[in-house]
Amino acid sequence: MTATWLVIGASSIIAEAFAACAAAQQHPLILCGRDGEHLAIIAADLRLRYRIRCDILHCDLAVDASPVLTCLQDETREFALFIAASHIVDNDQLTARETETMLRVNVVSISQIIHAFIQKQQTAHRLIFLSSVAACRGRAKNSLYGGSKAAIECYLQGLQQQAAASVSITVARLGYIDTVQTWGMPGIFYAASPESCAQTCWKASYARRRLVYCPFFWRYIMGILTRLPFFIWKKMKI
Amino acid sequence: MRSKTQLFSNFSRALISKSDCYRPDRESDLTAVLMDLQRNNQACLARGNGLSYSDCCTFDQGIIINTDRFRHLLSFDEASGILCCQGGTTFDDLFLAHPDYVPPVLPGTVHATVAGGIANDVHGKNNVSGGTFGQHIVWLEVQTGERVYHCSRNEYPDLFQASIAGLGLTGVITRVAIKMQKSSRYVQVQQEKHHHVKDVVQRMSTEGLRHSYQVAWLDLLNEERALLSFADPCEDRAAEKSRRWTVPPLPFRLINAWNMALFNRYYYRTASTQTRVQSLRAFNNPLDALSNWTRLYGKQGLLQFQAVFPEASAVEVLQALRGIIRSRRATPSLAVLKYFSQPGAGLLSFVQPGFTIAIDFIHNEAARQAIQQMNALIGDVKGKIYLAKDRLLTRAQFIEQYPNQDAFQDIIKQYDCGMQSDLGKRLGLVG
Repeated sequence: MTATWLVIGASSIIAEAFAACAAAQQHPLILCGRDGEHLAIIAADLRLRYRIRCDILHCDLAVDASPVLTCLQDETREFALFIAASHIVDNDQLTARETETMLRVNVVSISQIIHAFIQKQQTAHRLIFLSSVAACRGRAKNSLYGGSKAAIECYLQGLQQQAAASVSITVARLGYIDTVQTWGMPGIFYAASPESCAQTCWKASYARRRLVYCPFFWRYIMGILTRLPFFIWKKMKI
Repeated sequence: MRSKTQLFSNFSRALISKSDCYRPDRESDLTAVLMDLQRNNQACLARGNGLSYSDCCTFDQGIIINTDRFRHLLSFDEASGILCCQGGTTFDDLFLAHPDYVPPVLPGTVHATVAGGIANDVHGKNNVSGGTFGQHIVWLEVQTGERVYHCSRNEYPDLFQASIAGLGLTGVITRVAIKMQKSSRYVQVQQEKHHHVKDVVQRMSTEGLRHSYQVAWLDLLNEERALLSFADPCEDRAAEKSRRWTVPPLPFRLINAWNMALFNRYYYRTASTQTRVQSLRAFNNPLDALSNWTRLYGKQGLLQFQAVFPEASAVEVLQALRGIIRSRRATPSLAVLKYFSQPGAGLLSFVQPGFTIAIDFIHNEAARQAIQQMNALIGDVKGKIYLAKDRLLTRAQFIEQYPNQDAFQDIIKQYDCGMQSDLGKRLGLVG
């Protein structure tokens, strides 16, 4: 049975590219996100290009994840889960409200969704979580965002530890991808295309990889940065 | 939203411009950017894949809106054959809508965007049966600031007619409805070899009328000769070549007069005159099989000349053009002749009944001089230069060749379109 990919945060360009990968393999889709108008455009395009079933699920993870949880509970079809939803706030922009929204989206709602998905009775579980290289080491610029990603990574690591053979959980740590976040930002030396990022996630999941970096060389950059002694890390202006 | 300073060129890589570029992800982001620009009284230019040969797709020191993210197909109605899509959708993507339908008109590359096709009212090799692309547009949405105009032949007909062949100066073309053509995507091709241009001209205006597609390849580097191709949709199928080659960036030019003359001789000699079946894309867009082929011309790029001239004087004009190229010692690496019987649909449409020749030149001073002289000649014979290809037309020549430009200027003033391009500045199109 072909699993239906449930794409969380589907209006992001990486999620759209991933949905196209899944649609090209004739997987049905449910696109979940806040911007209903934009999701309708993406869904219409995927239906026409790939002749697949593509539904929309309106859900604001900053409010609550219940539409997704209900969908996972009530629908009998098999699901696979792609989590692209994320709320990014730099440390210097944090307010009480922003902190709450970021943690609600990045941690509370997403862990509820992961939990509901893993609990769901189905023959196989496939999950891809888009994390960030920011999760590797706390950085002055965005350590709370990095921490929210690290929280889910840590949760998923535990699930990977006890995972049966039918469960595949992939964490993709993203470096610079050519999206609205990196567009025109100074210091971007190379940004991978959203399409190549989506392909990397797709291939890594079907190769049952636990952790993948995109672009790949961020593995080496982060390998060095995480091993730097703290007194050097403290002096670095990154 | 952040902008990014980028270098831009056109398809021929013969110019470099520097602009601030915005790339909105969603239609709502586009509205925000356009409102912001309007508030600051800043002009901008929407740019698709930048595949025009002229400076209509660049805006040096100005603001470019990249439409890469607006390439969604929106709906297709099989009963009426009407396809709705966003402006940044490519002609190649239109083939995905339905296996029994093809785009009604295909420009020289299928990687051009639909909005770009409208903004230049592009033509194909099927003008006799298919007209220009603008004739198949049912409606289009043009956005200026936060205002979106839904234009058709009944709603805002003036803006509709100005936007077709409007060079992107009437606003951002956000959504489009195209009447697709129910037809096979394979064609049966037959080729003829000719030694005299007058035979080609005569065959194209007689036998050519009986075929869906026709085009002639001319050899301007050796003695007079031409390959004339006719094609018609057929039920048979041919394998589409999946292998695509690409040319890497080259520090030097690979194309010169003697190797192109040699290539032309080889191409003519080995061309088959037997009937064969090809995919429509392979027949219509043979150069798409070689990605970035303009890199063969090195860092200087190439110049293209394209003009339309009346049928009655076609042979004489072709001889005169050949004479100018010879006397200026320009190198015409590729030349293609097509026949038009239907005029374009827009105010500034290039297409009018007659013959059109497109010639690629190695970009050098000789080519520029030859093109300037040919531009003047075309004006004298009541012809027109194609603005999607032109870099060297003067404002006086433009006014003479495009008498509707006054009406066009009135419309962009009336709708306060807020667009500009290097071509717009050069020809004084925007007030």
